[in-house]
Amino acid sequence: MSQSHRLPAGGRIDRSRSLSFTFDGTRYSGHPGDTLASALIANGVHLVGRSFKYHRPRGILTAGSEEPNALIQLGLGNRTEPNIRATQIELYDGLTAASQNRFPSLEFDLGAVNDTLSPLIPAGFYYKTFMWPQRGWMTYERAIRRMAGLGRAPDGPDPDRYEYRHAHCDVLVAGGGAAGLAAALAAGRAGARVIIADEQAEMGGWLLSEGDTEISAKPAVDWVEKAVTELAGMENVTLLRRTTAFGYYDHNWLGLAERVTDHLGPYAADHLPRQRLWQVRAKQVVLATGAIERPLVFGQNDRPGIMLAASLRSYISRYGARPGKALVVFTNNDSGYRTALAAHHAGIGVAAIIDSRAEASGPLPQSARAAGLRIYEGHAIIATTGRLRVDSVRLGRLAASGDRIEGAGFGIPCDLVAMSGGWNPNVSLFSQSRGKLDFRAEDGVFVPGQSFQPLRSAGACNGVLSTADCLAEGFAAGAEAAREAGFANRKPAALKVTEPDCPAAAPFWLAPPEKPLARAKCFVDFQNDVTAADLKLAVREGFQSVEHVKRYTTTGMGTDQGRTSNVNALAIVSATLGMEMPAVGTTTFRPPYTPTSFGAIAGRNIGALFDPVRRTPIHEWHAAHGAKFENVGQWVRAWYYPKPGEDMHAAVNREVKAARTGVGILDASTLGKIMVKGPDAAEFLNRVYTNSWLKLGIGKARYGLMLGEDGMVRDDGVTVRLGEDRFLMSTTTGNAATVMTSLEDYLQTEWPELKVYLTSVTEQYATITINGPKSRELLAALTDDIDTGNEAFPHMSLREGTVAGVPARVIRISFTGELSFEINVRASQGKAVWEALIEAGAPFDITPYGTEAMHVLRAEKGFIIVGQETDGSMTPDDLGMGWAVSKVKPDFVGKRSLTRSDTVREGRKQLVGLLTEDPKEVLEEGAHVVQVALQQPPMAMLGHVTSSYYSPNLERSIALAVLKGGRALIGKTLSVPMPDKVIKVTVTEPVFFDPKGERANG
Amino acid sequence: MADTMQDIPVAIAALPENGKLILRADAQNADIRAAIAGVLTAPLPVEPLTSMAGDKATALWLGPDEWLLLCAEADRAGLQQALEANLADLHASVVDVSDAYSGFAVTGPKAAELLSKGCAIDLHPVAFAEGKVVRSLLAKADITLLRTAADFQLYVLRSFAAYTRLWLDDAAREYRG
Repeated sequence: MSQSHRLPAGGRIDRSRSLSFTFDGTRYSGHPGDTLASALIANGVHLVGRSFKYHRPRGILTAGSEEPNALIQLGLGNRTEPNIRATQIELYDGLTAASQNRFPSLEFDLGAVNDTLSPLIPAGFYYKTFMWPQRGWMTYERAIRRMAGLGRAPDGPDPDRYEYRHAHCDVLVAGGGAAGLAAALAAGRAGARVIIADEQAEMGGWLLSEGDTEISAKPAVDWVEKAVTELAGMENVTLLRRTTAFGYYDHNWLGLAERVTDHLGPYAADHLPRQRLWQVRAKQVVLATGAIERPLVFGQNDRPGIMLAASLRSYISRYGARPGKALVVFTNNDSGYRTALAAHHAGIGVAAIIDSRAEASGPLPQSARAAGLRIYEGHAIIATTGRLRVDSVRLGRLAASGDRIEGAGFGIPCDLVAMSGGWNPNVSLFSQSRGKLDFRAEDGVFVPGQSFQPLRSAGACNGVLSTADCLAEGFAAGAEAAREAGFANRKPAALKVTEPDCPAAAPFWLAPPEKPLARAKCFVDFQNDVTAADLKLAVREGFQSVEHVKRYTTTGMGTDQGRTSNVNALAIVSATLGMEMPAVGTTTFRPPYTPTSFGAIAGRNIGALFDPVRRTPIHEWHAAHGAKFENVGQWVRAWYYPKPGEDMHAAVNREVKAARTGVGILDASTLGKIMVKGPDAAEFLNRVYTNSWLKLGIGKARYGLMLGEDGMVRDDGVTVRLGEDRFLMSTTTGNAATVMTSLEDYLQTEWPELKVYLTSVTEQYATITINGPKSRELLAALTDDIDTGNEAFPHMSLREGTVAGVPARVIRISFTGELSFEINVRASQGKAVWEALIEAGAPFDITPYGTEAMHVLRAEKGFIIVGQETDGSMTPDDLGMGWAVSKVKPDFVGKRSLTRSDTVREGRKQLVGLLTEDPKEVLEEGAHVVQVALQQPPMAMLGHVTSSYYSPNLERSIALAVLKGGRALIGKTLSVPMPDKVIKVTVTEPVFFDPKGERANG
Repeated sequence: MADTMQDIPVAIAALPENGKLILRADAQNADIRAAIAGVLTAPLPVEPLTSMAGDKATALWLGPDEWLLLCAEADRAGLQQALEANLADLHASVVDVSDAYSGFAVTGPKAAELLSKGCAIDLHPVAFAEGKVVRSLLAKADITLLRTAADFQLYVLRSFAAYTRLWLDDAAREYRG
């Protein structure tokens, strides 16, 4: 289809090339430089969507990111994206777009029945109607969501790449219009590191759309080009196009979303990200975010063909489009005349200019008069007609009060309406930064007031309107920001600007409609279908806070966050309440400024990069030998090693038995290890562990419990004394970093007098545990400088020497109750030593065992695992480990809490063992234990199962549990209610195997 | 060769195994400073975020009482022994962490930009000159980052090396189009 509505010349489009695209299946063409919106308009298409609630036909309202109506489903397959503003989509060849929220078609939408029913579904309708019966909501909601809602999300994974970038600068400029470019020039010339970001494809802002403005006696766009060229040539300046500053956070930290290749569609190079999320830390910020034109609120002001006046000007002069043949302008200020004149000069018929002011006498109205345009002063549009496109407006003379019409209304045929209610400074980012807004009564706008971060607003976002003022404020703000950041400079000289004089608007909030308000459809929020009547209804129903009105009516919500509607809504609410606008206040501006894709927020934190996977130095061997792995925090540990045909149960049983009858080998490298060094090292340990450390001999090992200051068990492990002033502490795998940090904290803040240094050596060593009656023989086979005899190398001691030819620290300790040695070698030698042990262990049928077998082995012995038997609420005594708490030490971390009334009371949960009646029955971990099982909850619960396994050594199931007053219950029979049955259990001591502990010492 | 370093936007390489010691001592103490300087043949850097390259080792400031000493693997044991001997009567700690950390070098004109995808520190030469050292995060890995005349060197815990390499290579994709 040819571009029937393209002006013969003009616009910043490349007419030498044509791009083909489809909208709702119809093929159209446009040019490079077009947005989807401008290309549709150039093809005569105004109807682009159906509204959210009433399914009313909607057209393109704006030319920018504030667009509430023209929300498009862009692209196909897993690249499809809903709710994209047609005004921001740059055209590329082959672009595929579709309208949303219509069925079966945009022209004929069944949902439009809602529009006919609209008097029945006012604000709060859903709240009021779908309340009963309460459970019915589950059904209603599904139906309502299908009716409402916008586009649809893709089904599969996103095929594109998204990147992050951190950046720092002296001056960040948000917005690349007149003020932003001027600020960047001033700061850049001063030598400051500058980042300037603009959401559009081209820098320049509104200067790209104003054909009647000259800077230094040349068209404004020439100055834009010169400025951009100069900035691009500065090494200290980063120019970011297609980049939205979407969030302004504390400490001048801003989020920018750069659309790197969105505009290329399928032609984007594969290696480039689709979008990039910038996190910028700026010393100074200049906000140059411009202003957003305010719609006028009048009867049926939402029909396709009704647009904001300056946006219309943009389609004509920036995009070279002819949006219609017969234009009616409705305005409360002179910039409406600017649009009328631009249209007139472009050959578009201007049927009428309707001005709500009693008199329009500025230079622009005079030019319009001189051009012979028909002007209706003191008039307002009271209704419009046209089904899928506006085809006439009806107007009437305003009474002096402005709130009613005098005399009869009359109609004017048209196919295009431009409305201008003045300009709202775009204060979103300023407000996000915590800045306070001031109300300027003369034109009814909120302007930046006090700010709380190092920032300054410049240009239209600061409430000035002319290009000359925007440039002047931009230069001043950029120069000042650079100076504050430490770059002395002189503000650039003012530029001579020729532009039409366009003073501020006279507020005009609601044109009295021809029909009664409730049926007049005077839309305030186009995206959420909120009318003036809805707002007044909310006030009548008792909502006074603007935040409540927002939530009740949904005004200001949605993807546009009320960019075009908020101030109008506020004015109507405050007028209805009879209050001043500043007294009513504004709703909160929150990030993101415009919708930001989840892809950009996720960045590359997906797939293998989602979280680090930590592997031990011996991991490759485990993998090569068929190990199954389990995640332990970020660590991946060997879980069990199934042989062909074995399931997990069989493999674990075999591993558990081998560790008690022959020799098992375990990779324990993930245990935390901390070197503790200094003359006060023993005293330090004495304070952080519950037991006594001062007299531990060199070369000896001791088990220790670490408590929180609340007296609850936080960590445990074995620490060995390497020398008079040197200990090697071990921690649990999961707590390694936490323990290190908290110990360092104690040293730095609580006991600075202690001469102790800590160094984490978790990853310096590979730790290999060999375990079982044959482990001594195995160790002896691989060392010639360590005497492995029971007398020479007793339980709980350390020997240093060589194992498999490399230096090793061997500690005789046991987490299984068997004879066991822990061999520590440098991490880089871990795999070789493991392989040497496997080889030397072949005659003993050495069996690698994983974490699951380790858990069974320690549970057979009733050894706790911190985080499994403990949950931050267990004292040593609760665990039956009072033996590990010194009664004589003056103090240790947590000691005081152990005498609190709650920690010494009767009836605390205590660790016990459980044996099921049926030895084959394995309890579920987490299952609750009760005295008497009732038919259904609630039942008085005694506690829960913390660990439960099948023990092949005992040939029956075993479990650990924490029960209220548990030790007094030993010998009793209790119940574990499950969904399908009740399991009877007998309470026992928590040690099931070798209760005297003879084997580890053998 | 035509393919000079300048032509490659960014290159990533694992650093060869070297000796790494964590030295902890009170730098306010002149005896300690002298004992250490005697071994390193260079003063210990006491300015935060700085490093000092000596004949025997490069010392990286990690905290007011903590340094990472980098040396040739062959010199490691000797350096540790010499330090421990010189510091024998003083309160200090010298711990071998050579195997605990893995190092990477990132070179080329886009090196800083690549790192800035995951590191929030300002890496511009104005703010991060040669010799500067920081401990920070690269994506989800703790790093010790040093800028040398030739490159950025970063050290991560051994178990984070695979993740870090994966991340660096992935981040470099943009420059290898």
